Amino acid sequence: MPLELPPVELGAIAPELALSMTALFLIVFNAFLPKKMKGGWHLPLIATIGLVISIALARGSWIDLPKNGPDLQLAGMVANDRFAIFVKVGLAVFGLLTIWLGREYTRRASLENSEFYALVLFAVAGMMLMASSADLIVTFIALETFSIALYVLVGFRTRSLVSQESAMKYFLLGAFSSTFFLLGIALVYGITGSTNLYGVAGSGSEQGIVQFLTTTPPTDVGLLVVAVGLLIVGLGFKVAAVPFHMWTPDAYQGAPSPVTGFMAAGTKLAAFAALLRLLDVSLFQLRDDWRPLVLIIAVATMLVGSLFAVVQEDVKRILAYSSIAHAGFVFTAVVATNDRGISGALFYLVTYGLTVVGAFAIVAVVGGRDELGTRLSEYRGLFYRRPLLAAALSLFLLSLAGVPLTSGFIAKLVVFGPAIDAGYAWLVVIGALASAIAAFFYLRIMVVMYMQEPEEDAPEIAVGPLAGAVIGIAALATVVFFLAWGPLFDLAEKATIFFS
Amino acid sequence: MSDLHALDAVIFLPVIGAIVIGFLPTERAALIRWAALAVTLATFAVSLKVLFDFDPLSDDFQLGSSLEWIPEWGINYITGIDGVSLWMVMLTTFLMPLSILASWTIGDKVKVYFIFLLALETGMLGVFSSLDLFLFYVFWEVTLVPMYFLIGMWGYGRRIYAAMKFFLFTLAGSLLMLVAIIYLYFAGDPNTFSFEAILGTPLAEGTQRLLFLGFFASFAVKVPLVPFHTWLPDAHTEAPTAGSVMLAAVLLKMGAYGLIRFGIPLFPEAARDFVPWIMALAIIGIVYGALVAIVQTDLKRLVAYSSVAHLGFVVLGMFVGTYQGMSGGILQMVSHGLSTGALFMLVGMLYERRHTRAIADFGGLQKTVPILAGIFLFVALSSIGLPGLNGFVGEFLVLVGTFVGYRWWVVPAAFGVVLAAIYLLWAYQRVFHGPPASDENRGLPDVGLREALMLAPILVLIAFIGIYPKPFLERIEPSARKIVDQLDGDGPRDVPDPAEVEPGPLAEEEGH
Repeated sequence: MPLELPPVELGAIAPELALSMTALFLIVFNAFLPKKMKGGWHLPLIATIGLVISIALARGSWIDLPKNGPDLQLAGMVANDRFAIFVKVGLAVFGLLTIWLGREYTRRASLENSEFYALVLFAVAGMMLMASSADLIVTFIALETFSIALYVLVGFRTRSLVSQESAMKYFLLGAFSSTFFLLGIALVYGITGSTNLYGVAGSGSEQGIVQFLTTTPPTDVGLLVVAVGLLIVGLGFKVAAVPFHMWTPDAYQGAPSPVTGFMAAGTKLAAFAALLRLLDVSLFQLRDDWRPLVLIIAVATMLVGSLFAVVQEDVKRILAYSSIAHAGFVFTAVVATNDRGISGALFYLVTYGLTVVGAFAIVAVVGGRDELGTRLSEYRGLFYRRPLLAAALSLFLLSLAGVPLTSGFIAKLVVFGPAIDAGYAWLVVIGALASAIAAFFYLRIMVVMYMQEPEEDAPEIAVGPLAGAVIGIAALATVVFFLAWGPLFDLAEKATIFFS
Repeated sequence: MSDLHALDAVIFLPVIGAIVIGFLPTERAALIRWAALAVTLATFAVSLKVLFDFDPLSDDFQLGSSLEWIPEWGINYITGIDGVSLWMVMLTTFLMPLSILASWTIGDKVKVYFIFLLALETGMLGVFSSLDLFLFYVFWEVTLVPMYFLIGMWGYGRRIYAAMKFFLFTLAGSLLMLVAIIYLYFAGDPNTFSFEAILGTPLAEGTQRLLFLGFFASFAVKVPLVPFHTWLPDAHTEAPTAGSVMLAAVLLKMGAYGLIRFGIPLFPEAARDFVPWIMALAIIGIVYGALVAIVQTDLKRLVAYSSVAHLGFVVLGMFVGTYQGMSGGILQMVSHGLSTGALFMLVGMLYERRHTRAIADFGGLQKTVPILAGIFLFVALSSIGLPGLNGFVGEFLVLVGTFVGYRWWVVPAAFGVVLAAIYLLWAYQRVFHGPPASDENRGLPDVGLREALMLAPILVLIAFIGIYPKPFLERIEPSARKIVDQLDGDGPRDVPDPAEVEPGPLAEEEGH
């Protein structure tokens, strides 16, 4: 049988390719350098260039794209649409901040080598592919690409047993959830005869899930709901939704703080992008079937994340549970199943990502060389030791709590709004109460920083120029996306014209 | 309405001042104090212009401006004041310089302290002037953060507990209001946050009730109405003097103000349905607050509980559905701000002299600090509602307004006035008369120049409103009438003209 090759259109995955090439180049190039130059400035520089190129490539196709529907490429495997581009640029920005932060972090912890940068780049590439995948197989490949990179990054603090343990936990549970996802794909294929979300004419998979749903009577889709459940398990694990959140506190605590921030920001954005495309677009017609499941997850995630954080004593664990709660807030926009909900979710994920990267940057700085200082007590009197650092962390915490004058408030507004509009006001009331509970532990950190005196022998906190820049950018974004959030939301809205 | 007005300058002057102070050198504490005082005095001066420009005959929003902020979401910067908000703005700008004076002795982290105080002022002024629900909510929440820090960083004993409790109680209520606000936004056509545009939105009865409860949750915590009041004694007691003054005088008013600015006009039917419940809570607050105040051993806590009782009067007047009740409730907000603000200042002065607030530790102070004692008595009498002082006017109007529609509700409310006399006069007696509890009570300095400057303006106003409340009431009344008409209650809205009434019940109903 002659093999018919699909047309090779690399444009849609150009950003991912640029990143992978940069990562490979970085590793190979560094191998040829003399030993004492191996940890030099060229590493973050090259990585930065790679990320900037990928942003430029992604941005370049924004204007050319048709307004409605995805432009399917590579045999219908990859969707090239503004939704994907928006997410990709967001991910690349998270990647940039992580690289800069990681530079100082790895140097201080004597961990500098090219792998760190290469792994971050691979992870960003995988996450980007998540956003544009139009086929469950591609989604799976993307999922594994960034997950494997992250497993290694979590265990990157080689001298720390906690780090090793958490990497192992994350890996085992991650592999477990991946099998669920894979099983879901298999079921979807068995039922619909395709793994494609949209279906492309002339590609061998004419009938995608969307077409299957339009041509099949609703009574015959029972098994597909089971498959969707399995897919939600796989993606729910990545966004840290309850009850698939067990790994989150441990992995967040063990990972190097820059990586933790990257996981909280990037993984959530990528996995939610895939989830939104799957549930709100591809399975739109099945929404009444999957919605109860997502509603339960949303409620459980908001409440468990907020309640469990209350009793934590480690700042990284507090932020880990907070990130669980935030996944729950995004789910309120997922159940809205309309354009506004999707753009709200995108806005939420990007602003939350910027804030949380900033927060973990401060955690990295305060933690010291081996991240021994992540306990709440280490933040005692931070305001008296480093007033600006304390002020920045308060800003991030208030943003996470959703208090006005920060982007976090707008983010809450744009995810709660569509949910209320879609008739889920009760869900939003639960969300509001969960936010009130969550405020408690954000305030607890602020109490320690401002209202308790520092210890006499508190270690010196060193803030390098790069960490300072990352914190500054994050703080600026947190304020700017409150005062002038229109433009960003406008972009998010342009990125999500699925229904019209 | 398009260009910016003096009102906007009033709102933002304090925060601009706070930013300027942020650039002053931290160690120059005296300079920072004077700068903060200058900023608040300038704000007050500009607010006087607002007062003079205000048209007392109109019941519309005036002196405001309207700018686009986030047009995609129908969010605008819309401000404007009516007779209710006018006095709230004036109360805030008037008390703020005095609070700065009351904070003169703060020696710790002076710069941050005044930055928070000034930021708080902008938040409060914004709450009273916003006519866009988004803007209103932003200002509403913004007041939380500086107050949280003021209590938590400069407060006394259990300051952290008090600050947390204050923040979380208020936030929980506010978030429910946020849900209601977002709902309203989507209910409007076109979607908008503009208060005046939302006003006419038709809402189903059940929806209206739920939304009203959402707003009510936020306002009832703030007022506070019993049983949402438990944060108040802690926050007021542990806050530094200026914090207590601002909490009692202005922040509580935000709750009562919200009820009549948004609660009644946006959801008139629902508000009417809940009138008996709210009145019951108000009466419970009057009696309960007074009873609990009687048994307090801490002077500051006593004043804090007295606020619960007084705010009960305010809310009672606002919901009885008569013009007199509404005007009285609004005037009582001003009066309570003045008297309780002054009481907190006096308690703060006593604390600075004796480093205790326990009533039992005082005694016999009348001999050592006669002027302070005299002022305390004067303010206490105003708070009790002695005719001729400011407290009387508001309370009397509330009681008269209540009597018209709800004759028997007046009995417990008037009883609350008697209880107020008990707790305040008894406290006065124990603190200033009798033998001194210890030798430390001898040889204390009397009222100094700074303290005299910070109390004198309040004392003048207390007497002025008591003797000649007309300038206040005539500006309040048009707006009060408008709100009462929106509530559209079942009972009579006006006290009948005495000439047309058979002589009888009205004559004996004075409440004292």
